[in-house]
Amino acid sequence: MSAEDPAAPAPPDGPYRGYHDIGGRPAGPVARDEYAFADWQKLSEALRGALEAKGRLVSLDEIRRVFESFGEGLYNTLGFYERRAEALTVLLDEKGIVPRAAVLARMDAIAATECRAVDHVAKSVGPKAGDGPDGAR
Amino acid sequence: MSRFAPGDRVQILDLGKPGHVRIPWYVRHKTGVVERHCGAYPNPEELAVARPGLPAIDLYRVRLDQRDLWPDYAGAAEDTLEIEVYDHWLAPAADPSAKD
Repeated sequence: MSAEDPAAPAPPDGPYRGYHDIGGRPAGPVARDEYAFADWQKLSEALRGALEAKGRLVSLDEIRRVFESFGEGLYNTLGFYERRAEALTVLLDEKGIVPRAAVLARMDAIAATECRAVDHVAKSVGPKAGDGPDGAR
Repeated sequence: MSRFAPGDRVQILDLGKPGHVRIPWYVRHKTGVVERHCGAYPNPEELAVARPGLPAIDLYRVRLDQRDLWPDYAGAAEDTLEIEVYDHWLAPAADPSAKD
């Protein structure tokens, strides 16, 4: 079997194969559900597009590089637009455009208006700490 | 002038590059046919690290037989997959119908 043999299987893995490169890996059936886009998804994509269009302050390929280095756990925890938004937050902070702390503080402020709190490690939103018997810290 | 024309046989390379690359593992080392030249675009591997990615690189749509990609492919023999590949991930490949 030579390298030119079109039927030669590609090595299943190798240096720098990322967890996002899932083509050909066992995965079960493909989910065919469709959902309407949420307003935040449209807004975050509009922000991303504007940052690309304005002198490529942030490129989509940079965003992809960042979410391909999230680690598999976080990558799989987040949805498609959540990955992009999280990576955009990282890049805006790296480039000195918007501090990450400011984005997280704004997320906290929005959640507080709904009596909820953001867990920035678990990437989840839950009831505000202190509201339940186990919530006090 | 682009290096390949529609109908040319090409092999997709494995450049073993770190960082963001757009060539999934399952097409690496596979041989297909150029379906079209898509234009020239900044190199996404360079854009991924905030460089300009210039000069622009030719992008080709490459048609591969599904049966070459998946050993257990159960669909029709003529089923194909098309994927867009930048010039530097391609090498010329011999026409299998050519006789020595």
